[in-house]
Amino acid sequence: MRLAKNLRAALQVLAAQPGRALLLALPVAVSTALALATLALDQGLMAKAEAAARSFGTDVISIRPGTRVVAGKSGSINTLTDGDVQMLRSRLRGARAIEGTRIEDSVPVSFGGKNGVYRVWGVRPPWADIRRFGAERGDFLNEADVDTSARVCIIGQTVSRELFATQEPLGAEILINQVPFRVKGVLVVKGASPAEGDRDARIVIPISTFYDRLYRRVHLDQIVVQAKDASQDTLARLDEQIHAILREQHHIAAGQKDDFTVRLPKKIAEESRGLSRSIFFLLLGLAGIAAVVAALVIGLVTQQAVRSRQGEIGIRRAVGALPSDILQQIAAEGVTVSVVGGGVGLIIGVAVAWGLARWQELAFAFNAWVIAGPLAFILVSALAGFLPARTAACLDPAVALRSR
Amino acid sequence: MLVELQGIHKTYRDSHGQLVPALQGVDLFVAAGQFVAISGSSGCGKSTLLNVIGCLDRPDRGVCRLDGEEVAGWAERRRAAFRNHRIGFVFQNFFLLPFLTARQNVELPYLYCDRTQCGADAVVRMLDSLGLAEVENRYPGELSGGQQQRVAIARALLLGADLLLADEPSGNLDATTAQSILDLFSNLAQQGKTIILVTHESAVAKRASRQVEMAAGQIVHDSAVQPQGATP
Repeated sequence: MRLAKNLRAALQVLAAQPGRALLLALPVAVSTALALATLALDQGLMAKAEAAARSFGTDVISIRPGTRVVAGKSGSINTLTDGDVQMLRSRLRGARAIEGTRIEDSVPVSFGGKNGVYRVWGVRPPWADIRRFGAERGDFLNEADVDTSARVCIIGQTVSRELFATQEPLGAEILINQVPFRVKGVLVVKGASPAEGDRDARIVIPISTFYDRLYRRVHLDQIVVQAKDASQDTLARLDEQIHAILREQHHIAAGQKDDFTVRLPKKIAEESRGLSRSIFFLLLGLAGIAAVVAALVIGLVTQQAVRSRQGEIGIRRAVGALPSDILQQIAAEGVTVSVVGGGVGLIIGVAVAWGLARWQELAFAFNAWVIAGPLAFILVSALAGFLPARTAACLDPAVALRSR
Repeated sequence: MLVELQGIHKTYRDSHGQLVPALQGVDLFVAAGQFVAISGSSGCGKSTLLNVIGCLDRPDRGVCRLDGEEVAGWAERRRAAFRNHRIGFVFQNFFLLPFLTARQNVELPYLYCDRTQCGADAVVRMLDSLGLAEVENRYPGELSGGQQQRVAIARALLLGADLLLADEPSGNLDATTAQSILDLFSNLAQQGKTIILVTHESAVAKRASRQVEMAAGQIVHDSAVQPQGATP
């Protein structure tokens, strides 16, 4: 009962000084909103990254050629070869399958007067199992297609939709860079990923056909290594071996940089987040700083208010208030602005997180972890008012009355 | 209410850390229903004496009895409850909370009493009796000095206090308003309230039924005590 009356007294004080209440509540709202939006965005990005890693293959390691900066532009250097694949196959322990691929971006493709530009992949049949990228309809490539450099292709869902619309693509003949290919199958849906773009806008052909009919290119654009299992230990051991084998194969001296890049599923997931962990921690740090500022503002402003409100405290004591009443009232002022500011911050944070999730096509993740951080910030701000409240409660009423 | 003080001493430490004796062996007996004026120059200990009687301050030495009960051993909770129910304070600066209306200021003691319901009737009666009914929703800044002091008196009397402690209650009022406030105190004394009023104005002190004069923390004159050798 007494607590309710003291809360009422606190509300009367806050209502009488809306500017001060706003000043106290604003930093709490900012820190809460920033923390909630950051955490919710991170959860959405993590879900997206995990999905991307799963989609690429949680047991798949990707090896790419290294990059070199020439005239201010970064470009890949042709360092990966079939010889590397053979060497990895013979020496790598803990790998289930190893495949090299050739990739060409922006290849003109046409069918029946419709044109498009797609990414063409030259692969061997085991690639479909490694990347879980087989044919949804029709057939995938077989060894005979590779052996004979057959002009057959498997097209992605985007290619099918753009070139064929409602027509049946299976068995049709399309022109890839002016070379006719028969559509043998349609790939499963993979969707877009930050690392690979629209993965349905691709066409897969035999790696031998890629070399013989389209691009006479010796080097490989990617080697994929499928581990025997997806454990971090296995992947780390493979990573170590790959570096050792390829550095030896490429005659890279000690102290020199690699001329290739090895990407583990964790790295692929990180790249797929779209927001690096460091930016996430920066945002969370800013939210933390805002929370500290909020707590300091509440603590210092309340402390200052206690000094200027000694007369009020004195008269409350004179008409029967206990020190605990004063403590409850002053602390309730801090708690109220923290809860109200935090509540507003939570609403803004949810709205911002929802907007970002829609904009970035992320899952709107709102779990206990997302809400726990901002609630902790609100709690810190609320507690900040207790110290000055204690000072107020300890004031000698006779001294407080004299002060006015 | 019966007020008894025997050998009250109180010493303060000033801002320079020096000990300043405020009360030096004060003896005072105030019978229920008396209207006593304590006068003296600034710093003579009048307000300190009022704070000791009002349970706002504790003496260093001496005995303070209110209605026959020694208050020295009372816990803070009992002192606060006693201030809430039995003692009313009126100050020169009114001490109204500026963000509360006149009515809310009068109701302030209700916040700290254990009654669950705010007695709206009692508040209305109190406001009416002091001529404040028409200004009950105004804030202190919108009231005259006299009205503000009436609000302070209403607050002091709301829970039925039978001891009213007034510290320079007319100090900030014009002469006419001061007279009306002092008339109000006289009426309250006639109704049985014990009133102890602190003032440094002799004209104000004369309105009381008993005059006590202090100097250097001691009572140097009390109109109720016959000087030795004087004929009654």
